[in-house]
Amino acid sequence: MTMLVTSMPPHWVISPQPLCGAGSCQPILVTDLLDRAAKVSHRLHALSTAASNDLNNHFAPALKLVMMRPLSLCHTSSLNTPEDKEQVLQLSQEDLLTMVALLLKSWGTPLLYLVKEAQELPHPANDALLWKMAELSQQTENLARGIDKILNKLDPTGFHSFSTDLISPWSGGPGLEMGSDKKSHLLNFHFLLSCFRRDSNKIDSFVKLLRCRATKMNPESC
Amino acid sequence: MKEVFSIKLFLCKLLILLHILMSSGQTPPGRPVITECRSPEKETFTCWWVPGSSGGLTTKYSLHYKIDGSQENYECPDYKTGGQNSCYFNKSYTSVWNTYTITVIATNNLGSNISEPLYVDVAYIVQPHQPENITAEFTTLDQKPYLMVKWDPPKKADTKSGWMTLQYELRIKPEKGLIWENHFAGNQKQFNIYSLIPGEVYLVEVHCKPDHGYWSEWSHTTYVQIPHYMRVRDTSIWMMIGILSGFICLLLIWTIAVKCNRMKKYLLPPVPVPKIKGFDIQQLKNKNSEDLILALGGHGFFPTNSTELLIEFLEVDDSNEWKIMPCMGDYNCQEEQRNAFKSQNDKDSGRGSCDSNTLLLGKCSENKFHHNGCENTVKDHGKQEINPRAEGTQTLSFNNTEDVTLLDTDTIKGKTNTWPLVYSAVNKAQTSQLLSSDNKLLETPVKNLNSESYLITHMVDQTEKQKGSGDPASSGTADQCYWVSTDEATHLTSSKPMEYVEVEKVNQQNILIVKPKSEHSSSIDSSRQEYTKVSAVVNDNVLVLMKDKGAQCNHDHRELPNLSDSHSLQWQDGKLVTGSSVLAVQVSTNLAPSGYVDTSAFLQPMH
Repeated sequence: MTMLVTSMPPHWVISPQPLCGAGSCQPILVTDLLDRAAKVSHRLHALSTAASNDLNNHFAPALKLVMMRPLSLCHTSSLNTPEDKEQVLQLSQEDLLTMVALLLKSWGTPLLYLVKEAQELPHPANDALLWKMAELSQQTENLARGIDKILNKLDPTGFHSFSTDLISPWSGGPGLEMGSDKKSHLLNFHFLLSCFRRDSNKIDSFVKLLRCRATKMNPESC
Repeated sequence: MKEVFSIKLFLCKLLILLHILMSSGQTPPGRPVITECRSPEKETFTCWWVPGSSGGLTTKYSLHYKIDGSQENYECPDYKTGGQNSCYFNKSYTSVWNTYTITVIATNNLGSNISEPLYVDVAYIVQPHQPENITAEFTTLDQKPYLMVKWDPPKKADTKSGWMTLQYELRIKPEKGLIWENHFAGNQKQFNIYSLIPGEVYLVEVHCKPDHGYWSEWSHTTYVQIPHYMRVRDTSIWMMIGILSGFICLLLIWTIAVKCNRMKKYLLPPVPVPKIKGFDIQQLKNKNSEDLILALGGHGFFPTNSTELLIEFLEVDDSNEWKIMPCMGDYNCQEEQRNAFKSQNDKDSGRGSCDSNTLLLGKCSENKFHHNGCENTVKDHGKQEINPRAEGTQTLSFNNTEDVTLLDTDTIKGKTNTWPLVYSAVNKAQTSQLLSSDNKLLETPVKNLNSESYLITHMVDQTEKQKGSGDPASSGTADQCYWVSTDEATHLTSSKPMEYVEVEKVNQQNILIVKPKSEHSSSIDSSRQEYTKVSAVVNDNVLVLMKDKGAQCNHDHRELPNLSDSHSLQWQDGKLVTGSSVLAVQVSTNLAPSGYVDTSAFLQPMH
């Protein structure tokens, strides 16, 4: 951990001091931004978990079918995110932030689809699902912008900039193999929500890790 | 045939085998159930299961798992670490954000059974161990005592790197309490608890949970003894109570102190007490009136130390419906008189007057003062001639033709007040003595400056109007002097009629000219002399008046008897007792206890 931090280029070390760009000082600390980001990411995962519970409470018979569809088929699987602690800790702040940014941007369109689907979902809890999907979509967008700002603060030169090609494409809608009936819509909704739940957990974990690193000066903070 | 036989033999063997199996109760194993999988630190995880029926045979259980996206099936790497019927996945076998499809297979000789698959994502099954090193310390900061509880995160959880973020909650309750009081501490590793009961032993426990996961078990209980301390709230409350009660007490005491007198006065109004200076009530009670008279003015001479004698006025009513009865010292008697006497000007005849009247009348009778005037004054109202007088002027009239000695009349609503003689020598009361040697009617009331008493002196010439005015004493005429004095203590209200006359001058013919005197005139006309005291009585029956100058009068008056040896104020009227004896008036200006001289002595004929 410490080696990771110290071995990084000087401009990657997140300083608690206000960051000054070209000619203008930024009064907002990166730690504060990361703290805000952590709150949003926490909210994203909590909301997605709640929405999954809403679905599963009325969807138990179909659960097996849904689970038979492995989450490895999620459209974000191509991002090759880390799968354990060691892998995560080996990632740099930039990589982690980039990973978060990619995940968030990969979910822009699918979340809009989920909001639309929630309105017509044949589910008794569709109202609750609808506003949860709407908030998830909104918060994901906000968090994506925030992560971009943090990246810009850390590296104003744009070194971190990643190709939009890395953003996982989403094929959209239920797959051809899922059919287009109501059940298929429901299963696809659940599958997508499950994928987002996992990714939101990744995002939350990465952001909190970044926050902890940013406040390394204060060991009691995490 | 051979084939048929072999088939029959196989069936028989199969049936025998089945029979054996059935008779022994041995069956394939029951279906095991995976209960849960938990990861304490999001790095490793353990799964537990509950075996089904063994089927009477030794059953082997194996856990198999598939990782999401892989078709490969793996068996549990560690059956021992997690205990019986468990599988432990160490770090190398654990990946986060992947779905583990876990199944348990029970196998015995008769067969095998597979459990329901459990889909596990390590990120969602995190349940940390309990927090450690919990300490509860009672401290005081800024005079606020509180209990500071501190703890450490579980050792296994990597919170320093940020891999895990834990939230904490602690609960506390008194040792004898039943209900835990929970406090959510968030990400903090310490918490302050205020408002604990002093002297109580508290139990403190802490547990934790990751941001997305399960709460840990409660930690070991930590006991803490809260020392006895004065809570700030209690202190302030008691201070408030103390201040308030003190204030209320003060207010109460003050109110009582203020209201007490008023209440006392309201409930028990002060009884008017006769205040006759020099008049000893005890003496009156113990002795008869004669002794009292003797004590006061023994043998015709007033004792020097008894300087006060009061004779109250007599009330004369000219109406027939009410008779003035001699007031024999009876209180009710006096009250009757007072009630019957409806004059507003005479609101209070005074109890002292009652006594004095008694004294006077008693003395009149006992001393055989059967002078018609004395009697008639009291009784013959119809015969009494009332000399009308202007308001503001006190007039003394005398009508000797009717054998009436009219002392002083105050006509109010048809009633006539006859004022008896009073000689007062109160030093404050300016005493006026009037001596008339002429056949003139003189009246000299003197008002005390401080209104405590006033004295009205009347000199009545009874019979010697036609006689020579040169020398009353040698001509055998006698002047009759009446002094009327009222003390304010007796509540005699003279009001308007009780104006005063001051001596204007004494002419050569021994005529004392008096004029009405009002307070204003007296105060304004300061050139006029106001005679207040008898300085001496000279041989010519002339009463020398002098200004009251306090204690000097004492000596002057004491000389009076000597100076007046050869002459006296005599009752010259033939109807009265005529005598040449000396009526001496010795007046003492000694203030206390008496301020009056019993003028009844003048009524007593001297032989």
